[in-house]
Amino acid sequence: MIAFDGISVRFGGATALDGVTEEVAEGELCVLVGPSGSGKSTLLRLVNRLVEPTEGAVRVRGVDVRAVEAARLRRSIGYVIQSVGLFPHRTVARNVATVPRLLGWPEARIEARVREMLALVRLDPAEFASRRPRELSGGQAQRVGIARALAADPDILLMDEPFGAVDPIARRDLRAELRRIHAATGKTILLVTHDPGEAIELASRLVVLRDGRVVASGGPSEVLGGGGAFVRALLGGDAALRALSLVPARRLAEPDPAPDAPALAADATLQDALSLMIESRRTRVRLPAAESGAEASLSLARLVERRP
Amino acid sequence: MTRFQAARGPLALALALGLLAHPGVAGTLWGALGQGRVVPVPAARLAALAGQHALVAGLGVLGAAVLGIGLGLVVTRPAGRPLRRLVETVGAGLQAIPPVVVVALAFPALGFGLAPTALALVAYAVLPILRATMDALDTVPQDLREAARAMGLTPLQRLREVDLPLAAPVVAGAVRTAAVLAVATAAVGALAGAATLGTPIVIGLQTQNTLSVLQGAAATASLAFLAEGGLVLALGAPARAARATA
Ligand SMILES: Nc1ncnc2c1ncn2[C@@H]1O[C@H](COP(=O)(O)OP(=O)(O)O)[C@@H](O)[C@H]1O
Ligand SMILES: [Mg+2]
Repeated sequence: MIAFDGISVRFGGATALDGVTEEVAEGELCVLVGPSGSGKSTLLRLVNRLVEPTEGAVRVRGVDVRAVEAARLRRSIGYVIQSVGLFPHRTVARNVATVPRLLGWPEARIEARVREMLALVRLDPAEFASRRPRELSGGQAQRVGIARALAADPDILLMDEPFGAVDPIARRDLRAELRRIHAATGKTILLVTHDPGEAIELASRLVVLRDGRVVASGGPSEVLGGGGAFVRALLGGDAALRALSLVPARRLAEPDPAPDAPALAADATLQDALSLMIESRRTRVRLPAAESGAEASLSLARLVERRP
Repeated sequence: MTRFQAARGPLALALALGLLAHPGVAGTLWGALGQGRVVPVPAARLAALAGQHALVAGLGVLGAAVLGIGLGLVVTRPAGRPLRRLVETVGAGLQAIPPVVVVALAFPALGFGLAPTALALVAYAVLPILRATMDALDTVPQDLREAARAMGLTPLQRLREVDLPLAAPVVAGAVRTAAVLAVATAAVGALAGAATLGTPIVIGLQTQNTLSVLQGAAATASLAFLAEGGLVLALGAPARAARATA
């Protein structure tokens, strides 16, 4: 879906990216991590031509981006930034409608789409559509930012530290929202973060940058397993362990009842599951039937391999 | 505060000063103060002068606004940026020249009267409008421009939909201030032979007719407040109030 082919980017004398070759497949949620200044934002901004490569080529949907008119390319790609950048002089509805308007959609379709998008990010259109950005909390503003980025139904979404400026609780909700939207829409998402927990929770693919080079890339467990000292230092030695608390145990459970195994709460996380295994010295724990699913169980092997 | 509330004060003052300038009111007041009987400037004459005065000031502000806003836009675009220093310096220089000197210098080309006065007002008012335009455009937050660019707005669309609406309140404030100053300064045009509300002041001073001076001054002030109130109505309340209620 997105291919970086031998990319170098230099700003004057400074090298922001140096020989990056990466591919992001359709439907992937690819997370870029790395220290500040390692080139994450630059890599992201190559995709919608906010930055042009000094060397190499970027292909989006198989086409060199230089062959596409910049404005048209950008209208086909959602972009979300940390500071959100909502237009203060426009209502929430007008903000969300920005790209559909540029594309000349009929008014009725735009209106319906705005309502649909606000509902998607769980903001009641009746309450929020006519508000101004300054009447929103940080978390609400970022939801509107996401709604705006998705309004014209782009198949690619670029997100540069999208949840960096919101409080931890709103951030957790927004992450859950993003996972849900990703699962529901199958969009290709490229996301920059410097929060290791966020990276591991969200990533279907993880790209680690350092001084403008890719030092590791692949599935999160692959990168965490084989990444070496730099990656471990960046993501935290216990990042994988902490990440377990972000995933519901039910996601990895199998429909094997195991009646004599110790029982978890119905909404337990993988961290709860591992903890219970260690406490009870058993390699299988049981999830009772609940609203969220039928009776199931989870083995240590499935947990370690993170096999869904 | 709505623009209507903000305009109330200046318009009330304009009315009060206008009444004061009226020959009936001014003459009666003059008599009551025991200043003897002087013939006041007739109302029709004052009205004609006020029309000329408004025309000169209006032309001056219009010219300054077109020039100031236009140049401000040009020098804040990437292509025009190298011109910025030059434009700022020339603008500052123009403001430093006293209006009377502009009138004198323009005399060979434009002759006597309205045209050189309007030109002097343009020169005088262009810098504040230019500065305000540049400052307002400079302070449009970087992340907004970035977001607009990233969503696929063309440079023209970004100007129209982001830069201009966000800069407008500040620029409007500068135009309003320039207009009030221009109305006040246009009285000087009388020295260059422009028939304005400065004329009864100049003539009154020459003939020691203080009532005429009073009428001219009151009418000029009335017109300045009228401009202030009218522009608040037309362009919106002052920037700070506008942000609180928009
Ligand atoms: N527009 C620019 N002009 C000059 N240098 C830049 C520009 N954008 C980024 N850089 C430099 O490129 C390097 C990588 O920046 P960036 O991609 O923003 O890093 P990150 O997002 O990982 O913090 C940094 O050294 C930064 O200073
Ligand atoms: Mg960055």
